[in-house]
Amino acid sequence: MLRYLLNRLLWIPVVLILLSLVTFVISRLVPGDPVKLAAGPQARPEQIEKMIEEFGLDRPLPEQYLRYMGGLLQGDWGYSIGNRRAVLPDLLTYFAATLELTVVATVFGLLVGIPLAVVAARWRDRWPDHLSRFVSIGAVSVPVFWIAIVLQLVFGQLLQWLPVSGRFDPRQSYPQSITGILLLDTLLAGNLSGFWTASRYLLLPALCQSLLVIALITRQLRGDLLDMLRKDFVMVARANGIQERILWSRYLMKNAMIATVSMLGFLIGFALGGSVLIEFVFDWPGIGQYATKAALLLDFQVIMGSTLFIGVVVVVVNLFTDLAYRLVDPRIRFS
Amino acid sequence: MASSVSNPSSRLARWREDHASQLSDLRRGLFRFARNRLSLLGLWIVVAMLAVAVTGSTWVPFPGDTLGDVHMDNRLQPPNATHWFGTDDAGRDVFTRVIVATRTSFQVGLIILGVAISIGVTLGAVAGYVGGTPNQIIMRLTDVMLTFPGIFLPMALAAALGRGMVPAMLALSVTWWPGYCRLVEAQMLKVREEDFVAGARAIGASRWRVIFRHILPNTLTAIVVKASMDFGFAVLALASLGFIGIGIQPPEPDWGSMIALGRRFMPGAWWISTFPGLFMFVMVLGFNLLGDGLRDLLDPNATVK
Amino acid sequence: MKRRLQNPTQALVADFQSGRISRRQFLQTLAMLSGGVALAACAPAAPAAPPAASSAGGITPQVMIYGGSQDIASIDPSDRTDYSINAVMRQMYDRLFRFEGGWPQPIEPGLAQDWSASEDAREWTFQITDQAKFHDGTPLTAEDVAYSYQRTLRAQKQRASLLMGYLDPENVVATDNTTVKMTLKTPYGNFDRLLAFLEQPIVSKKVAMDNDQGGDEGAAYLIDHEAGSGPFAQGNWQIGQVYELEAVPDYWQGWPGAGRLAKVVWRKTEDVATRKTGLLSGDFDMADTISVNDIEEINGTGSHTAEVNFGLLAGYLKMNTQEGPTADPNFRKFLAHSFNRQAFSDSQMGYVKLMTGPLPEGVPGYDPNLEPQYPYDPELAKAFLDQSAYKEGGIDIDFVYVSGLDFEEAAGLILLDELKKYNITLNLVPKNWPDIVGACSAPATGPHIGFIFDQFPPLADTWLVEKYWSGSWDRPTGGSFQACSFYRNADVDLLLDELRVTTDAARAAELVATLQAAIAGEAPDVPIYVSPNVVGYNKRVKGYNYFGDISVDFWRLWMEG
Repeated sequence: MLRYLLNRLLWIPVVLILLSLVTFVISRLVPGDPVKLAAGPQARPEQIEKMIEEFGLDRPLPEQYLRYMGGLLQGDWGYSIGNRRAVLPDLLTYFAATLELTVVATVFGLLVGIPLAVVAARWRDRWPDHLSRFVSIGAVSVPVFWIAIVLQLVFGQLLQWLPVSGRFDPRQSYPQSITGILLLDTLLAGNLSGFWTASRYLLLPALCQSLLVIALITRQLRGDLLDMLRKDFVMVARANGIQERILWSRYLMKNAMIATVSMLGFLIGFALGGSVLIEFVFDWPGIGQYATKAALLLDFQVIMGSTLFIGVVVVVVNLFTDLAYRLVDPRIRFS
Repeated sequence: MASSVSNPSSRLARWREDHASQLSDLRRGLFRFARNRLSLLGLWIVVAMLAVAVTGSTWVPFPGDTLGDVHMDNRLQPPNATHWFGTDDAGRDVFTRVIVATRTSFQVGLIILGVAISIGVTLGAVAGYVGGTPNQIIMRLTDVMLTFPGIFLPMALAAALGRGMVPAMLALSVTWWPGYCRLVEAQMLKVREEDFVAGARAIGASRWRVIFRHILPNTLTAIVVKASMDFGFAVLALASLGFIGIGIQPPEPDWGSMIALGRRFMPGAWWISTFPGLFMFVMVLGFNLLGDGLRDLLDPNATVK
Repeated sequence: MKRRLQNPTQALVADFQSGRISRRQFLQTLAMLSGGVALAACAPAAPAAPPAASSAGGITPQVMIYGGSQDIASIDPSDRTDYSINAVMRQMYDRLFRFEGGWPQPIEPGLAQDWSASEDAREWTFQITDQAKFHDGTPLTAEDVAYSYQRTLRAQKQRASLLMGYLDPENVVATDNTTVKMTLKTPYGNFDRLLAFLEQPIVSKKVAMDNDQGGDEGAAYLIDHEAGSGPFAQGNWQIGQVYELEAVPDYWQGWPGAGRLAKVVWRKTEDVATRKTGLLSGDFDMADTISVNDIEEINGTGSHTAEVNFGLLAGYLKMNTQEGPTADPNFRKFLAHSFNRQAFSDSQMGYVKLMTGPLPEGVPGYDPNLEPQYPYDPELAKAFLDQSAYKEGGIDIDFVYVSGLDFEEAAGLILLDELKKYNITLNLVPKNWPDIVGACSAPATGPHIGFIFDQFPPLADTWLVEKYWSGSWDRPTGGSFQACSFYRNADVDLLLDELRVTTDAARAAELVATLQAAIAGEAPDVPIYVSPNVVGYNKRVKGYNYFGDISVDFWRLWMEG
């Protein structure tokens, strides 16, 4: 166990360095001129030269890379060439919005996915199974940016039930940031109407985001449950005349839930990356939007910063998932 | 002369005898598949979509509308008898463009998966069979690729390679292989220890022979199942690129960029976005239902009741 | 030597007489100016009687929600000049001049109550009001004005670009508490106008110095915090989420309208359809950059208005005059006459102002009687094609435009449709904007045709120099996208050199006319249209007048309850 953990921990910096290298190379391959763009349309040659020097773009590429990484080791995440904002504080701000969306979407997904999986496994090959199958496959087949637009059209514009963009009602005073997660901030401030408003703004994006979670949870959990049903202990229990209800609630669900929890980390990591398009459609000021805009504007220090930031999150989440999985399932040895 | 070739029917019979258990598995699987209406539905959707993709450009009402014709005097028409899905902001027939885009999606899906599977399977086989340092290197590289958030990497890559279908496909292929690599590696690790491989090695089969003759065929099932599901996802990914403005070069139609365009005309001209999205949904659903059915069919565990 | 008019009222009269502004605008502005000029005439010690004490007149100040299409990433007064940033900077800071009184923009006093130039147009002196106070309560002095310009000139960021040609930091000095003197490196008769359009925000020197980190003159602090004296102060401000402006009720210049706003909330909403639905559903009271496709719907509601105006945002098809088939002037003229302007206008629901020459209306020197330069004319086009080397067609040309902009794509499709007739393939190449900016650096990478928008202050020399002077692209750091035609004509270069330094208005007008004709004869670009500026608002919002900017001047607005 300890050896496995050490091995994994040792690999983390290697993975991150590789990630930074790949990102660096790609961001420099993209055609375009970030300096001219940032210097502005009427920039004079001396302004452009000054900017090139300021960002060290006149140096050889390996040196540029090493300088950036050196800064990173000292906690300097650089700043945007476009608007000169420091990268790290902005990353944290935008990350809070994405985290809020992801966590709520995951909770949604569990609330829908777990019951779907249980009925599917309980009545295998009967209509609940087919229904669950259709829902989960449908959820994963729908183009998420399209369903987002359709939901905006229906709930925002035709029915006018829900807001379709942003995080908060501009007519109410915006909650002061404590954690950056509005649901928490409003609760901490005892602002229930603010909490309600923030929830309404969160509903549609979270719904779209949760589709993937529903699909993954349902299929995975159904499979786990069916696997378990084939196990000896189920045979024995049934042979001993245990009630189906008790078998399910005491044994099967308990085991299945452990497996599900260990999957959560993976799901959250997955959803973090998958939120880009949803953030775009709902104008959700999250890290996906932040990173994508930087990529489109060739804002290289922001590109590096946000990729590495998300990379760290995903790597750490994966590590915990792996550990949890191995703890739960003793069949997988720590090799 | 005829005698030098053994009787075909007897050969078939012998083959049947040799493979009796597999055949009965297959028959049982097919039965399950046929009994499952959802899988059948998926099959039919895929067949229909394939037919549309192959023949579509020959029977669409306004083929010129995918080649650069514009009719500015006829823009933003709602669905009617001539234009079933209405017209877009350049007066082009949305139905025609949706249908022709089906072909593009199929081509792209096939190429992306073809490239990704070739890379992924090769690397996965090497990693899984050889183990040790090569395994570590390949699998860490895979980790890195999987660490990239969402469509971020294909987006950046496609931007780097320039606009158009080929760069978009390349970008997606290059980012799609890690899944296959992991899959094959895991299967290899499992299969490597099984008796028949040990047996093959014991009788002196070469390493590559073992990989290709004994191990890979056993992982094929998993690859086929994954590929059939991935096809739909590849179509979605391409459309996502089109949606954020990287993808196919106009005037060539593509579902993602049509949806993005239509968004600017929402909710008035709802038809521009709605129909391409619906088509894409149906197509991806078809592949996923089929893939799910195939998994039941081919997954040996699933056939054991 | 002729002198620029020094008094704003005289300038206004001249503008009116020359037909640059309408009678209505003239009267409105005159009414406003009389307040300002009267103040300037008063003894400096006289307390400011805010001319618009009327604003208290019974209308309760309201909160206005504004749907803007861009984020406000930095409010450093020396850095970026995006429209969204300028829109809020104008409210939080004061400037030497105002120009938001109407269209074309009349120059009106801001902090500068009076100004004058030496005979050679090199020494400029500005009298600064002593009434202005920063939001922290400290009085604004000439030293703050001089410092703000020096800071921008030292930082050499976006806002400095056009200024740097005329000034170095040491050329700006405060000679006493209310006087600022600028000594130009080269004479420039329109310098007051240039200063007005560059709208340098005047920042508190003390705040900038107090927040200095490692010699950044407060840049790290001022990127998120204002230190100005304008009619609005910074409210709740959280990057990417919320930007609020709170009115300063006793603002030193008063409030021009019958009422005023209490607060403005800038709600960044990038999607054009969402801005419109937000407006109509009541989420926003006002929104900019509305799509031309939504104008009818908005006006049809009865409760809302979509106002269309045409300013200085002009779209051109810039053709590479150095490389490829477009290096041939006959081929360029063929392309110019092949572009179906009417079809393009149709694609924009008719909400375009087609251009007749290289300058848009509103730039001095614009000739309203100029024959349309490149009318759509297939026969004429064919004649030019026959004179070129591409008579038989069979070539491919790239049409580069900004990915995702439907109107630019529409223009490309229209041209593609037309060129098919001549066996010429037009490749539509959507690119990211940074990619276009990079490609426009040099002729070798420049597109054959690029659909590019230009916008400059309404000064003819700026327009012509940035686009057609060979020095704007043929230089070590490469060209700007505005010079993406890579145009080189020795005669034009000489005329432009003269235009930049002449202080003789008559000679300048003559030069502008000659230049327009000379440039048009070689078709380095196809001037297409002035882009419509569409602002939508709830009819409760009062006081909107267009002044050439995408956004609005919140200072002049009020809302009925």
